[in-house]
Amino acid sequence: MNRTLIAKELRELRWKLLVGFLALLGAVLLMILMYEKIQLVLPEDTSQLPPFVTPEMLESLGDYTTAMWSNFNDKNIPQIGTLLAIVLGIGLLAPEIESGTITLLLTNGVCRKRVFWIKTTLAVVTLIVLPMVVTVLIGPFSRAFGYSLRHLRQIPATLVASLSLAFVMAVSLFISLLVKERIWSGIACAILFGL
Amino acid sequence: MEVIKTRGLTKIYGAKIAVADLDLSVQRGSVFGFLGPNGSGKSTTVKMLLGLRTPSRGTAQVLGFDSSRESHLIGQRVGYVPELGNLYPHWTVQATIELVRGLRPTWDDSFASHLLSLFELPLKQRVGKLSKGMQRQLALLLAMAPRPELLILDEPTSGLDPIKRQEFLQVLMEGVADTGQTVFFSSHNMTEVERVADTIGILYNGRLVVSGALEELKCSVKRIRVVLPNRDSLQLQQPVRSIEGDNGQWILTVERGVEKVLAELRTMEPVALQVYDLALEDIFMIYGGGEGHEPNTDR
Amino acid sequence: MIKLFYLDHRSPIPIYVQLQNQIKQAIAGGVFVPGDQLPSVRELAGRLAVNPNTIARAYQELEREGLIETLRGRGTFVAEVEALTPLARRLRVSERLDGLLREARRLGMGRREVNDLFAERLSLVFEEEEEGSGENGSNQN
Repeated sequence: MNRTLIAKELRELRWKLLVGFLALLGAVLLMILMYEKIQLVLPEDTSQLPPFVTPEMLESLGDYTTAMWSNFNDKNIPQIGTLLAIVLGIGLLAPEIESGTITLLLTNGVCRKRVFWIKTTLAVVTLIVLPMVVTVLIGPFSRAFGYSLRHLRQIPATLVASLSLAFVMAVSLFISLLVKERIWSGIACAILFGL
Repeated sequence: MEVIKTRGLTKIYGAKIAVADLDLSVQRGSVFGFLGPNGSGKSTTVKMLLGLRTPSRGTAQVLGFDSSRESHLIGQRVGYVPELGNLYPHWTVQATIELVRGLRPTWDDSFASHLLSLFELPLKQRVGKLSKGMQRQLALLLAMAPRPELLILDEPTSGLDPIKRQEFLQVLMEGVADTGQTVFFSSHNMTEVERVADTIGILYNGRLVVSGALEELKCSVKRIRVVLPNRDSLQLQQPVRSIEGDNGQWILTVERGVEKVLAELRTMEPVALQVYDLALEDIFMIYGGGEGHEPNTDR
Repeated sequence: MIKLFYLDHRSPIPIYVQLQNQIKQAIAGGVFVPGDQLPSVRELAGRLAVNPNTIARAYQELEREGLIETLRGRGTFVAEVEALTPLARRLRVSERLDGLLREARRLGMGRREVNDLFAERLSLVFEEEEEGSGENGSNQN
């Protein structure tokens, strides 16, 4: 029964997952391609900078690894990830309850709790796995464009960022059950999470 | 043995009483026709039986399980065709069948493929693109293929053309003959109920106004036309459901004991005295409020 | 074979009685001869889209009258005429007679008139040395 239900949920999630995955991957590719241009923005004249900025700091700021990690964890995941989390959250249960399709499960021997936990668990797992997969792909992609990462120390940070996405998803799920109408719950979530 | 049993089952939506103090009893092996005009509370009752709605008061038991607390156990043993579609519109017929097949351990593959070819359902088609009749046939397939001991069908033939309706009833009756399964179905098509049901219950304004074996009802409920000149009122000792008419001519509706009523009327030396048998449709009109007089159980 | 039966679902006459009568008529008319197999309850329930209990009831009534017999595991067959017990014979004929007599009364015939007519038909039919199909001449339907 669980296998059938998981297959069913993945079937429903597959397009959202694909779009989320491609969006994150696209953002990474964009960052790799844009890196050279971003470099130009950095000031040439270091004397105008405050005294506590050491040359090492400046060097690491302009460094590819640092730029890549900070961009991915501080910009891409919070933006694309949050959007994905909201979309998953409001699409998880509310539409099924609204359209009555959930009764197909309930009247075929699945209890409410099981529906809820399988759906929520899968969404959480998705929101953790998806950024992790993209994170792991950053290495090979960078190499393909001639860059190399100095360290993978930011992977735990990605995990933390993903966990916060799970929280966003849970709150969106809750809001969608209260608000019922999908558009309004979407707007409410977007405002709440500052998108 | 009772397959469905409700005691004082009540559902109140705000100020509206949808179902009031319902005491239903459906015996194993019977085909129970659940009748009532639109909005009389049939669907609400069905949903409470399956645990999809919580009763405001009272209890419901299906196959010995409590509808509120053990609805998943009921779901594992019952085939259900809802009044409105509950299938995923974007899924193909095949995917939908696979889903339910995975949820029901008792799924009968050969029976499913028999129904599939009988109904000529296109496997690759999306459910939302199917005609309403085909969606209903798919719902019936999903309900019947696990060979459940109880089928609960809410207006199963609404939206079906006469040929599909006939096919549907044929399959249903073959299923009953094969497995002795119990069928509980709501309908407002009297002809259909008359041919397949052996027991009926009529719901009116949320109340069960009559319930019992169909043949018995048809034998006991009669209409009498009597002409008694020189009389401007008619009072009887024997109980009758209603007396209508004046000027010496009356139409009586008798629920039981027609012979005794006739005997009493004969003592009044009538000019004419006729007894009419009733079809289910007439019985429904009497109890279902279609005749302009309120049933005495109401209010 | 199954198309021989036509059920009027709007009629107040119970469906099992309708079916019972039609099978009787088919046997009386020679459509079914002794030894013929009748469709199974399942088959008839399916084709006519009628509750199997209703079909089974019609068969039970016919069996009680001795018109058909059910052989376990083999099916339902039209009974040999010799197989009819005296009681079954009485039942079968008296039911028909009752129907005719009621009709006669509805038509306004008195006891004596019916009695005379009965005696007349009795001698006529029995002298023709035919049995069983005499009722075909009546206006029962």
